[in-house]
Amino acid sequence: MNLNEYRWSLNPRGMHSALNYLNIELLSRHRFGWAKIVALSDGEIALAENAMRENITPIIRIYRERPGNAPVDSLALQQYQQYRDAGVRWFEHYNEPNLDIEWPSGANKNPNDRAVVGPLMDNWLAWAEFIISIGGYPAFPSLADVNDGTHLDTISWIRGMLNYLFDVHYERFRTVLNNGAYIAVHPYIANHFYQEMPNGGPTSARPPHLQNADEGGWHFEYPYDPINQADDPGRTVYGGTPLAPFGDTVSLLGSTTVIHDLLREMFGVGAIPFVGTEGGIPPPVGLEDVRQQDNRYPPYTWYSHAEATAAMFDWIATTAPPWFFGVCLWKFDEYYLTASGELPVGTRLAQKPPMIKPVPALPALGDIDAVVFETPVADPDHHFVFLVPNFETAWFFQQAETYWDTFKPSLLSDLEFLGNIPPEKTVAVTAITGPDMVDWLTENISERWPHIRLDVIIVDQPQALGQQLAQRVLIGRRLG
Amino acid sequence: MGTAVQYHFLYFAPGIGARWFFEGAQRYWQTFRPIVTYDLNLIEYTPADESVVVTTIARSDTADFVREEMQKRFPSVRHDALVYDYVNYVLLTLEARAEQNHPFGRPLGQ
Repeated sequence: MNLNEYRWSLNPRGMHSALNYLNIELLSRHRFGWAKIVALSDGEIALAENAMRENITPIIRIYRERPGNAPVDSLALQQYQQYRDAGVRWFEHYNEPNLDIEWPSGANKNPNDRAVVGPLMDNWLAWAEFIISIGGYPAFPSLADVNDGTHLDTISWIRGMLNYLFDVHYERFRTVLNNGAYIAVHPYIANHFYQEMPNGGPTSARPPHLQNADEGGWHFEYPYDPINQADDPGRTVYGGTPLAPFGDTVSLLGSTTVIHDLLREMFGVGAIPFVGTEGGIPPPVGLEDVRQQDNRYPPYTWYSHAEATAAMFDWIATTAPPWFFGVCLWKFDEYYLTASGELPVGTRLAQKPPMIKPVPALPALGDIDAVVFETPVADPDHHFVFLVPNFETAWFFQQAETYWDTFKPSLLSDLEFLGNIPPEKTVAVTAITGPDMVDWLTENISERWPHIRLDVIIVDQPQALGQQLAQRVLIGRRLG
Repeated sequence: MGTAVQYHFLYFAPGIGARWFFEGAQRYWQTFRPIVTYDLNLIEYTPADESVVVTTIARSDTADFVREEMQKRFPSVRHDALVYDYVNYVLLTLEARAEQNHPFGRPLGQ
């Protein structure tokens, strides 16, 4: 199965229900693309259908209290079938098994003990195979981000689960990965993000009141961002420094990076989806609440939280790996039903069109290095910009001047010219398009000239084009 | 009008900023859709038996360079040379061409 065969809204903005409650009309107005719904039984089918009508992709988890590593009960399986019959595809069951609250009181929760992870993985695999058999996508268990070396430790759990699957269920797990599985993660990112000051350099950080989601310079790649690397050189998600002895996954892509690395290394995974089924920037609880979990990074406020969250979603669409599909913010009541009213982020998202995530046709299993991890150390011999037929050319003239001035590509009107260029020349085409012409581009460029690198920018508003091009200028990267 | 032009390039000389294209040539490009480039090497990829016109835009300080490059490298290509020191004059010229549907300027006698 290829990454682009998963069916979803392509909009990385998500919201988590407050238990089983979500206001879909509000999410639609605020332009969300995911709805994570904790279902108490089959009672949320109408909610899921409502979401799908609004092009919001639902993820259903049937709630069970303290499930531990027990098998999924037959009633839950029946209910998953009912949701699938209603059109839901994305499912989740085991949730944060590294936390005590998810286990019966007194249970052994040691991730290094096969008596603990074995049954968990046996039962998860059986459930995943069931979900796949009914045409759904099963989530690999999410974990809370804890980096302390105890029985809660995220990386210990990841290794424990995957090592067991490698030793005992290698082919079964690969089959599941290749037939619709995805990885659930819970990226609560604290204040591990910042926006550069204009012309301030990569370690400059705007104070909260100057942050602006319509401008570039945002960093969400912690711990690999310039501020952390300047403070603790060489720190990775695995740690590797005295200040981070057990890893550092508290970030947008922390657990995703660890899990994806290990899946590649152990199971030959190419690209399968990662979805934040909880997470986001923990919302302030009131107008006076200023959060600064890590004092190396700026704090955020009731108001700047909106800018950062909007920017985070755009960053997911433009900069995060192609397999990172979005985050469901935790959770609806903390955003919309607070004592101080609705957080500003909803209105901000309503003002700002979502950036659509471009998803390439990468295989679930197989070598994707040449496609994804190629480091473009040199510019291509020839770089063209191409506006698809019927694209609003005025948007290009309104939004692309700085990009043009920085990278000086050529502007191509007729694709036939590409056939004149000798194949030993490296050629890249940045094609600017609406969502409806992506297949056309594949047919008319990738299939005709496979050696040409097709770099697609998908927009449905001029501001979205400006933002994507501005981000490229800021990071000095002409291609996405 | 003679042989139909198969390839039309709009070339900006070294030192010409993007503003000259974005402010000076928008309507011209939207009307005639030339290949816009800072890279004369692209002209090498045009077949020898095809009709090619290169409209060049240069300031007076680089005009000779552009003319010599075109003569030396592409002697059989029609060179439509525009030399201006201000983007407003580029705009006036190219707007007129778009208005009159003459991508290479109105021929003498017409």
